[in-house]
Amino acid sequence: MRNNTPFKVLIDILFYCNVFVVIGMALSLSMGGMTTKTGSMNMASWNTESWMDVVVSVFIYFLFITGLFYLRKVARNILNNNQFTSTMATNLYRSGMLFTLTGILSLFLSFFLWVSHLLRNELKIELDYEVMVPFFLMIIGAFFIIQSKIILEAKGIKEDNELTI
Amino acid sequence: MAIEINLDVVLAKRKMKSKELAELIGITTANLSILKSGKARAIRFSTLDEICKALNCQPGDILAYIED
Repeated sequence: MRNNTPFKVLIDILFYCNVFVVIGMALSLSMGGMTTKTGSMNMASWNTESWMDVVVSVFIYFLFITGLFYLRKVARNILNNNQFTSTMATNLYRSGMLFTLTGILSLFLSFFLWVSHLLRNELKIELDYEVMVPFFLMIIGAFFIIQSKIILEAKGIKEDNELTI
Repeated sequence: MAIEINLDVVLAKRKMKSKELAELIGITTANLSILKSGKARAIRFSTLDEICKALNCQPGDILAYIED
C-alpha cells in the first residue's frame, strides 16, 4: 500500500529520536555533563514526591519506547506483506498493552501530582494539552489490542480460504 | 478431524496418479496433496464434482465419517 512506507518512516524517526535522547542522557550523566546541581535543578533538595515523579516518569518513558519498538516490528511486517501472521498480532498486542499502560501510569502520575499540590494548598485547576496525551495513548493502545484480535481472526479466515480446495 | 479422506484408496483402485487427477480436475498438485493429507479445511462442491467425475465414484467413496 502507498502509505506503508511513510508509516514506517514516521515510527522509525520517533523511535530513533527517543533512543538518541536516552543514549545522550546516559552519556551526559556518565561523563559528568549533567550533575545533581545543573541549572535550577538541585537534586539534593528533592523530596520523596519529586523523586517518585522522576522514577515513574523514566519508567513510563521506557514503556513508551518499548511500545514503539514493537510498533516498528509491526510496520516492518506490514512492509513485508506479512499482515496476517501470529507475530504481527503478538507485536501489535504488546505495543497496545505498553501504550495503554503508559497512558494509565501517566494519568495516575498526573493525578498523584495534582493531589500532592492540593494537599500543600497549591490547588491548580487547568485543562491543557498534557491531559489529552494519556487519554490518547490509552485509546491508541486499546485500538491496537482490538486490532491484534481482528488480525488473529483474519489469519484464521485466510487459512480457511487457503485450505479450501 | 472426524472426516477421513480416502482419495489415495480410490486413486489406487483406478490406478491413477495424483498428477493426472490434478490435471483432469484443474487444481494444482500441491492443493491435491493438501486434500489427500487431510490438511484441507473444506472442499468446494465444484471440486468434489470434478473428482467424482474424473474417478467415476460417489462422494462417499472419497469422504468417510469416523467417530472420535
